[in-house]
Amino acid sequence: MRGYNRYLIFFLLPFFALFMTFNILPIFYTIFVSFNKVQFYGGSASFSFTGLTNYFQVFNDPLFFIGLKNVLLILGIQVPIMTGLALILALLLNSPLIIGKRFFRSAIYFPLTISLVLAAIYWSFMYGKEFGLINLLLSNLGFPKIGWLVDPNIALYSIMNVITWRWTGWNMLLFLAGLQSIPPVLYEAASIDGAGRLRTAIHIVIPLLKPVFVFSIVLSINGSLQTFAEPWVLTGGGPAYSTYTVVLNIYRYMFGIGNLGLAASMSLVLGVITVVLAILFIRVVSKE
Amino acid sequence: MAITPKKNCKMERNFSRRKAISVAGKVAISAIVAGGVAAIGGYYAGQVAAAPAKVTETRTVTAAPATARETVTVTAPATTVTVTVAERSKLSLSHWTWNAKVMEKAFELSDALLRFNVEVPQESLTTGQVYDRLTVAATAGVGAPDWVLLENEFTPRFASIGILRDLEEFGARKYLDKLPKFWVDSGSFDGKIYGMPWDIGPCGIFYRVDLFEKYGLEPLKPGMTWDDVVEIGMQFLKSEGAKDHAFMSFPTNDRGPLTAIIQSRGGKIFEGKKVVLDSGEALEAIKFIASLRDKKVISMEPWWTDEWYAKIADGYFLCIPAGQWFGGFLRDWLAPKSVGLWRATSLPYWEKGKPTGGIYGGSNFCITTQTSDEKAERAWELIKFLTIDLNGVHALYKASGYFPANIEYLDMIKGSTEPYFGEQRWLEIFVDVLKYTPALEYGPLWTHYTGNIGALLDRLAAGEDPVTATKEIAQIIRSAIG
Repeated sequence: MRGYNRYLIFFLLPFFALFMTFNILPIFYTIFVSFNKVQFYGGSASFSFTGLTNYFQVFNDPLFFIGLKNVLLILGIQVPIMTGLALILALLLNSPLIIGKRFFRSAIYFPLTISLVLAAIYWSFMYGKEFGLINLLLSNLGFPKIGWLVDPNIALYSIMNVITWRWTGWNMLLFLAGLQSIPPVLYEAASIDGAGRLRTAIHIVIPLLKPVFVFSIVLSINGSLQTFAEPWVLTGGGPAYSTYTVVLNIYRYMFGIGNLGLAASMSLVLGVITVVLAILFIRVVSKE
Repeated sequence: MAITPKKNCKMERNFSRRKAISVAGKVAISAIVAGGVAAIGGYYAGQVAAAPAKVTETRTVTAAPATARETVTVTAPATTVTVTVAERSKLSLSHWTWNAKVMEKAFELSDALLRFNVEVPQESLTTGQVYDRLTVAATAGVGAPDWVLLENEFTPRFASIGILRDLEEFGARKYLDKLPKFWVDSGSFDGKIYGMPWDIGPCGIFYRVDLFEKYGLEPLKPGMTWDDVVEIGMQFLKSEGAKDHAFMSFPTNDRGPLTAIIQSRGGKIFEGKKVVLDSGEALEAIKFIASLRDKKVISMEPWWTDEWYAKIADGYFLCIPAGQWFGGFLRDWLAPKSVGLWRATSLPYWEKGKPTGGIYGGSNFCITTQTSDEKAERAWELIKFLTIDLNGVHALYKASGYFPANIEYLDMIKGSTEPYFGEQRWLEIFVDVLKYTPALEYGPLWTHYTGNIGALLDRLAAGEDPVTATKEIAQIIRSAIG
């Protein structure tokens, strides 16, 4: 047994080394940096302890709150729509009545497999104000043209649409896996007890999908609060910060301005907000 | 100066390595002696000289098993080049740029790699990628290339974090009289020089002369004031053409024209670490842009989109304010069919008889602190060749069409005309702009401006009050600076 343990440690060592190097140490380093003013010169960094100054600056930064407001809007509007859509698609594609299920599953998952840059080009063709496909359609139907990516009141919703297009397939797969893990005997038992499709869905399917649902939402909380790629490639955070997100702000402080301390403290504040929201959600759902 | 810029240097080489190696033993001693003489004589002795069209280039090649000396015959019609290549090993000078293909062409045209016995592995990146990677390299202390292309406005920022070498250590200061003073002042940091300019973008206005004629408008010309241009714009808006065209395009996602107009007005964004965007001449310039918006003289929209390209090709805009380089863009890919239809003029003056100008674009070659002294020295030779030596400047100009910053070279080409611009001496207009352009202090905080100015333009485009919007954006920048 002792020999077995020795070998176990030996085999786990590479994982722990990589895990410590790339997951745990960066967290501690970020915490350390967040309490310092970091100045670079000629490839060497000098750290001067500034206490909570960076954190005060985070809460005095208007762009942090603009970004936070936008990602919370995404969380509040886009995530429920996407999750509902994913659940409906999963139920449909799990039904014996639907033909060509493999094709539809692949097609719905496909957006996640293509490069976001390509997707951005595609969506810019769709969203173009003068020559975009959507506006061409609208104008042919007699509606006015809409500035999907250039109108500050609309751009964030256009971004939400792209996120939904991209991530619904992933959530659908989670729900499909959950649906397929429900033992068929439960359906049979419900059927023998006289339960119809709706009752089966309410009393069997949804309760058993709850863990998958929680997992999907927690991932979505994390994903929406850290929204970066879609606005980065489509709008750069504009127009007038209407699609600006917290991570875009962190990125700008890190790479554009070179204020590592502020970028680190902002990352940690965002991390804390994400964890708190996820825990709150899990608690609320668990009580129910 | 015996240079005719429009003709390329063609070199024919005729050498036999086998023969050279077979006599290497005999030649070695004379090579060393000749090498010494060459070194004493100076590496650049007679790089550009009034000599016969056919000259002999002497270079020393380090080739196993011995150092041999080879003779290269150079045939250069109308251009005379004498190059003496010093005996030294070949170096690899890594380079980050957004103009890799152009650089390759310039190297080919000038034989620069042969002259300096270097190879230049280039990494083709966008400007944003260059800045992000250079920031990471500066942070990590490793990973920077030997030399890099940076926009002039970002040079002070990278100098401030110690990733760029002070070029004065190579004697750059003595060449500054060949460059526009405002450019050097704008891109320097702490009074030191960190970049030598490849190209420079004096801002002007490109306009469709055929549409001006069609709608009975007075063509734009240097010396006009903004009042004159606004009057012409208002006249156009009353014409039939206003249904199908916009008078002037102005970007919501490109800081260039706004910054150039602020600069031409004598405005500042920063004074040291103080944000002054929302005061003085800068604010006046922004208010002026808003007034153009209100009068519908400008059409504010995103630039560099397929829609914008299509509008230019279709002749939707009568005017576009842009850097000189935009002329090449129009001619080569934006509207290649519009031969003879475009003209250029300088940015309008604010007061009659008081010329001024602004800059929209331009880049510097910089050497990083993470390269070795030997490589830095060789990179400087190459940079000096490309920016100061007229052969190098000419090669870069031929390869790119970008406006060089070398005053001597500009004087040589400014009389050029071409059918695309209706044989107008358009380059001369931009050369003149350089004489009147005031310096604009970029400084190490410039990224705060570039990161937020898009939001100001968006807000102006949305019809917001320019004073409120500018003050709020300035406050955001102040908060970020801390």
